[in-house]
Amino acid sequence: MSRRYDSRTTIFSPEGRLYQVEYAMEAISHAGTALGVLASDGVVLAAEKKSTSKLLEPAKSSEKMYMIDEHVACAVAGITADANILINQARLHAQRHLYNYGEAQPVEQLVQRLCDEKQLYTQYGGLRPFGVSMLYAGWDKIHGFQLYQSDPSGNYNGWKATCIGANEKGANSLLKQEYKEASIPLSAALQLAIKVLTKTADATTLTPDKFDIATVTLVNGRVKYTQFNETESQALLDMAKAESASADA
Amino acid sequence: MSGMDCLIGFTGKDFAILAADGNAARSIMVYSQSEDKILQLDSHKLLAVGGDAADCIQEPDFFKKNMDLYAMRNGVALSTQAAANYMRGEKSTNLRKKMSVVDMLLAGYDEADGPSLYFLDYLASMQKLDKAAHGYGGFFVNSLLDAHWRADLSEAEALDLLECCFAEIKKRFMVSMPKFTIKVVDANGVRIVDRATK
Repeated sequence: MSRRYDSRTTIFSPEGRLYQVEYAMEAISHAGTALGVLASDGVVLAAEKKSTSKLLEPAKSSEKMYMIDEHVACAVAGITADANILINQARLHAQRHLYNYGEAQPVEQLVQRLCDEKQLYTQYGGLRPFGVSMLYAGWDKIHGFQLYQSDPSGNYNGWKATCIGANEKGANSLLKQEYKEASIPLSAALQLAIKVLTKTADATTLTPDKFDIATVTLVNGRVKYTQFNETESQALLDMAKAESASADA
Repeated sequence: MSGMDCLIGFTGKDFAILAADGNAARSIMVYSQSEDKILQLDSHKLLAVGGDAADCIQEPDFFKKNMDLYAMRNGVALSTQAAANYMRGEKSTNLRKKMSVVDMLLAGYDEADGPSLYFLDYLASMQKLDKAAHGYGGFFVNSLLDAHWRADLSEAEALDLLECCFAEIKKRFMVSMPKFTIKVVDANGVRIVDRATK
């Protein structure tokens, strides 16, 4: 019915919607879940890795989580090729800032710059928007630990906990239920992330090869991005299983 | 580079202090002896400048406007370190584009890092220092600063140290510098202070 307003990305529909942006978000809803949880002493990023075929050679580096700079990391959901472009731009922004100002770029600024880029594609050029939503986890001396989410429209928000990608509605309502206090420690954040991921994952049982989990923390005054390896991920799964068993008992 | 502007700066216990002479002169003619060569860059930053008269107005003004823009865009001012690096980068780019002869001492106070002092010169060198000076007058006081500066000077001690420097300049530098402007930056911001009176 309003199909005639679809093909040009840079015009509104009569109802005041940007269809191409909405279709981009639709594309993201088919991608592997990624979620972030903010803790008082760090930020957790977790993502489900959707493997579409058994023949696929496992990737050497994560296709869901990326380090942007030493103090910022991000998880993506959506078209991987689009994500790569944005990640590269984010890295450039971060280094340019470091080059000009001799210090790490504040996290919100980095997010804003990327969102400005995304917004361009909704207003100029007649090119389609990026089919990627991103979660940014980082630390700076202005606001401490932060978690942000951006989407193809170029809007962004700061979150205590949020989820993007497949099953994000269910995951978000679960996070809303479970994130009770004003702030939680990293250990609780990790458990919460695993719990939500377990519920929303496609696979019936979660194994370390099916998801990535990472944290941004302060170690000896320096920001550290840690991607959990298989053993560490398995340890988290075991802890979660024990917790849920004791909760049921 | 002209050397006739005397700039002195150092950090104290929880403040940074800058002093600058008040002479505006060319050749044998003194235009004014009550020039204020210490510019307030933002709520917690001071910049003492020396060198070419016109450049000393234009360059800091350009920096200040860009820093104000940054603060407005991002809701927070640049830290002293970031400001120093930014200015150095601009001076470096200008080095082979235009002649801009401005020596600077940047003094700032940051909540996280406390007081700091940065030495920048017209060739775009930059160094974070505890104590620094520019100009011919500066040559006379470097050794005094080396001898008498300590890590946690009180404001009174800092003013005494400055008087020591001014006395040396008065005695040994052939150009008369009757008036010095002194400004302090600390957690509460920026203020002008009077010279210590014996």
